[in-house]
Amino acid sequence: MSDNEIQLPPRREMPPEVRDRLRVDLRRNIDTEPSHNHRAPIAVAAGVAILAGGGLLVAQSAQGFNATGSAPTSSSTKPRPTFTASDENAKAGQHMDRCWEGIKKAGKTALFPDRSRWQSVIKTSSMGPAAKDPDQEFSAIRADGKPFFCETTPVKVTVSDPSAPPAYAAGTRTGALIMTPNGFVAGVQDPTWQNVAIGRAIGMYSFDTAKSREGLFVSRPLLRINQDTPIMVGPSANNQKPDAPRVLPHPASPVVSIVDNPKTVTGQQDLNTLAGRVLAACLTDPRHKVLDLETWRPGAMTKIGVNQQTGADIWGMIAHNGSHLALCEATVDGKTAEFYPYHDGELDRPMITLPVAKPTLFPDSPSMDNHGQPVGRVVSGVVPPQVARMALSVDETRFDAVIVDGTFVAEGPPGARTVKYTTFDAAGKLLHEGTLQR
Amino acid sequence: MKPTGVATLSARAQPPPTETETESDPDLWRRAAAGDQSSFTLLFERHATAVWNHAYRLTGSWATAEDVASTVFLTAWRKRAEMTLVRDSALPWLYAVAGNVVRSERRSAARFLRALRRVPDESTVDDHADAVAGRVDDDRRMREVLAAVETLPRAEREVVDLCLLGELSTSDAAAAMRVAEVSVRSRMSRARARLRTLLEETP
Repeated sequence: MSDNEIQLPPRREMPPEVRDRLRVDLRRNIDTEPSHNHRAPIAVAAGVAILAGGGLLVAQSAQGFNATGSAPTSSSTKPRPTFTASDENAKAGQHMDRCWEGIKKAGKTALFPDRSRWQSVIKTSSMGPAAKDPDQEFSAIRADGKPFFCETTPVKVTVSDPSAPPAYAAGTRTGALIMTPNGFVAGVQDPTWQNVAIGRAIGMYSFDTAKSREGLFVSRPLLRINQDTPIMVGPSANNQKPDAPRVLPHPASPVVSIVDNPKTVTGQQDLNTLAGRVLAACLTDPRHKVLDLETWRPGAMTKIGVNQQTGADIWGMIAHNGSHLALCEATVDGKTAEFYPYHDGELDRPMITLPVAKPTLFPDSPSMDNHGQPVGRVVSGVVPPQVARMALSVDETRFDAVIVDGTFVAEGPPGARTVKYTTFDAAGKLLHEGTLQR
Repeated sequence: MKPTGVATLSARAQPPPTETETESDPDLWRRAAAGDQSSFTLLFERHATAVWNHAYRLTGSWATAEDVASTVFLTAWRKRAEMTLVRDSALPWLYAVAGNVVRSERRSAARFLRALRRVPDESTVDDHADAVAGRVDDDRRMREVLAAVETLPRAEREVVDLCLLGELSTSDAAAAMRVAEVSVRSRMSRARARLRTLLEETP
């Protein structure tokens, strides 16, 4: 189906006055906001509210309302953002610090040059557009002449062996030194190659140009990689597909692979229950990026629809790994499987981390509207560990939530924006009363 | 403290910086990440029209599209130091941000939907659209399409946002969504079938 098939209105040239307003708005916000003062979601709401009031849209949105809806302070009282190379060096340093702590925790310091001699060569990160924080960070490091690489996720540190030889692509001097299950590939670059084009050889995935510096290369995350995943590389110029890609052999396994978040659950996953099988369908679907595969556990779930082809029930679940949350929507047979790790659906806000001090809504609840059911019936989120029962109400309608490992899911009247809750501990003692705003 | 960089985002009184063909999006992004506002300005000038049009296709309102576009570029500015642009173009990522801006507000603010429904009655706002023949028909058609897209499963909706409404390639959409390209194609195929049925039923 093309534009013409559904008769989309044609694109337009942007009128100069619109471009000017955007320039002014952006300039003011760039100049007046501190670098970490996030107001993005509010901007649209503010704009809409102003729109409903008539022609004040431009004037007021250009003032840059802040998160409380009040007018901004004078630009003279707020520092302009300054981003310098030293900021980037600081970030790279912080990342290497975490890598070093992971190495120490794993008891592998003898295998590495001392942290004081590490030099950051490439620092990169991967983040979804909905997230405030990156869910993967990666550093190419050199110390005492040896290159090694470190990947971190919200819960895990993975580091390559500085003494391991590169696994060279046949006939080249491009070789892999690390391939992480979370999808980063990195190594040494053939000095005759302008760039390294790299991609998975399955799933019709495109080639991308790796980031290169000082003889090292780092790919972007290439979805899930295991020992059976063929990785292809080739010389590339100007981001073109390589003419003669060849297999990049898998290197030795990383010498450090450790969960460094003390709240994260480790150990064997129980995937034999119904909830476990639903989660397994989410985790094993090869089409999606599943970070930290081994850490996720089933949480509360509810039926959210039926697969139209097979008739199988589709379940919506809030999965967790003890410290973070994920959304899983799947059938047991895996014909339907959607998984969103380290994602709670809110733009530009910190991820929800466990445990929480009070009942907290998961913003992107499993979607019954995705499967032909009324919109917005599912309410889901997390509660403090001591909560054993959660009673909910919308107007006069009362219903209980299912609670599993501090996650909850409930079905209420469709479209309700405000849900009142009361929670109790195992002895029936009242713990919390409040309102969840959707 | 004055921002670094030669050219900065500015009103019309200051002409936009000149763009050269040799500067790729990843190069500009890298320089912007290092604090060069002029590079970010070039990215804005290069992609503002596309993002604004995409935001219209996501909302059915040119006025709201302007605010969404503003939010998208502000978000890009904030995240420029944390993001590595891995595709040739910044557009897939900017489109994905636009989709999340719109979806986030749809979920959290009922007034967003109320306001969208009221847009046709508020055409007294003095904007460019008044001068364009067929504007009301365009808006009506866009809302029909969006209503149909809203009924799709989440994953199909995201693909439609990027590939059908945003006209990105499946590989660019896959990179923006961080799923395999084959997954984008299968979702798009299912979405097309559903949309065709839904939109043929629209009177």
